Amino acid sequence: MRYPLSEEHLLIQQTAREFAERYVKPEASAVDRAGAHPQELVRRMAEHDFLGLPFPQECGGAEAGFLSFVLAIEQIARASASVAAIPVNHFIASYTLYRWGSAEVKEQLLPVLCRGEKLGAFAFYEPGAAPGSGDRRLVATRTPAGYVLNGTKYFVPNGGVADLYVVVAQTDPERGQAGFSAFVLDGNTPGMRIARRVETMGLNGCQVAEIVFEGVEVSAGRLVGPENGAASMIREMLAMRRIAGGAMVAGIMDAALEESVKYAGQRVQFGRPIGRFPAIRKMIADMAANLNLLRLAVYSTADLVDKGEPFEAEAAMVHMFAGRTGQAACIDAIQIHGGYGYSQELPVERFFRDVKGALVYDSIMEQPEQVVAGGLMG
Amino acid sequence: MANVITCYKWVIDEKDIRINPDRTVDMSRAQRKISEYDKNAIEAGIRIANRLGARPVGLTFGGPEAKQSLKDALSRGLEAVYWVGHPFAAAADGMVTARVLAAAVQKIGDYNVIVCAEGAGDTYARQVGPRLGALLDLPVITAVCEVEVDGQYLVATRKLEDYVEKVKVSMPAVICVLPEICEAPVPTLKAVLAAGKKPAQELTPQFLGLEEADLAPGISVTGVLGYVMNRKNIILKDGDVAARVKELVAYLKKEGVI
Repeated sequence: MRYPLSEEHLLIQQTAREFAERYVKPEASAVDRAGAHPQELVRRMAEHDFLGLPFPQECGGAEAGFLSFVLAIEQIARASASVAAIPVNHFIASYTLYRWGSAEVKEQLLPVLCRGEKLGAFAFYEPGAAPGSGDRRLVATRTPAGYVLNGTKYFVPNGGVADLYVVVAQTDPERGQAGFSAFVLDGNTPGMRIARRVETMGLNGCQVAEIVFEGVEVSAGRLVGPENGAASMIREMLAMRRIAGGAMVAGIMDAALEESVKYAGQRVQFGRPIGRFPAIRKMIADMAANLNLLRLAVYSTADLVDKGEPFEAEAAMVHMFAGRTGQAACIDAIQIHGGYGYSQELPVERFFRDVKGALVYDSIMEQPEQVVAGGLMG
Repeated sequence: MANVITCYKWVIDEKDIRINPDRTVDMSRAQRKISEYDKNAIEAGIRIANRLGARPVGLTFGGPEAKQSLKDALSRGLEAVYWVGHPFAAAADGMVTARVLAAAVQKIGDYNVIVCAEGAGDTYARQVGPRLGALLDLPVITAVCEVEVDGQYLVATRKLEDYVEKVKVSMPAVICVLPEICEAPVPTLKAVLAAGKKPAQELTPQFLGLEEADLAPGISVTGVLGYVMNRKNIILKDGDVAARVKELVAYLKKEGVI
């Protein structure tokens, strides 16, 4: 049961694995424990074209398509989901500019993002509530020169280490979900400051921050897409994030499975390896079957993106399936490893913390179940 | 432009090999890859070619599955790759492989350095480089851990069992390099995508003037079994530490370890 990847896709997958084994895996535990931004690994990923992989060459990318990107992300996540989360969030910011940015914004900003000279972040969440509804909501008020932004963004991945931020702000409170717009800001824009780092359970190498905007002046040229047009962008961005998140989960599951098979073959109880016990074998079989099915779902949905076909419902299904199977696989991996699995001596407890992180990023606005059921029943 | 030809082998990924309880070896699910040692050799060949202003090219002899290696090899910086494909490659010994590669090298022509890894990642027989040099009537330097270009000469450092040796050889020559010759970089993803646009040429044994008899190995493998290390399972747990250490030393002496 294998998705029919092209020779080029297979080589990208293999090269990404070689990269991850050589550079990422040896640092994975240290990145997790230090909780610091892995600057050197990000530089290496940029040098090896991971940060602009799906974008056209004229934008500074490698023009390999979205399927290539998720194949690469899966392999990096297999070594360290923390590290994989960084290019995924960078991609979301870059994709927003590529898809909806003005010609000037694309020309100025996309090449530096694709080459990894600047790191991107996407700021969507707000403290305690859905965007636009809380006391500290981010509001963009029109001025003769453009806009002034006031408010707070919460839970911004790559926040504090990114150079460019795509920020969603409310531009028309009367229009509800249809009253949001996207802007792109330099990280050092006056009035914009990182209020604090948000400590997380997993994905510790991917910095998450709360950002405060106080009288931040933004020129009209930094509006991304039409005014009040962010809702459709967010839906599409969210769907792509779900596919990339599914690839991260697949990478984590693959690592959990590999560690579990190895341990079950070595650990002897009652005179034989625990891998000979039916209960352990069932867990291993479930992990392997679900991993294969998740891969099929991720790859085929990413292929829909490359073909320009609708993919939002499929992306939501990827998220649903990854959510159920990814967490189960990581819990089973801990169970197979017994007390060692619960300890920080082995990486499986990290897989469990990271898989949760890979999934919660996508659960904004609409639950994936609503997307799928809504498509079927309205 | 002269060629620097690096020979490489498409081998089974050792991580995927499983030993069954009856010691039979299961390679049915194994992926393949360019031998890890050959990745270093490819990079060494590219560096030598850059110093010489020559063209770095790759050459491999393998079964039909070795065709998958071509883009991988090209993504590592080679400008062209040549592939001799034949099902007999699976059973080829060092003599047959060297014979095929020698014929291919002569067909490619205009070469000044031929680079091989000291041994392949699967068999590590260390046969091909020296045999290739003999068939082409070229000087051969083995166990090379450093190499420099000095005009028409290669100056190589050989890492031998208990000393290093520096030698000078006029080109053309065959050098067999150790992995420490240089680190093999991971290709960039743009290099992976560009690999498909570089030339890859198949050279059939017939085109090289080889008969079926030339491909028949002198050595045939009659069986492969997993290696099992039988441990003595002696645990020294009685007595105080000093007594146990003394006992341990006695055992080690008896076994000839110390």
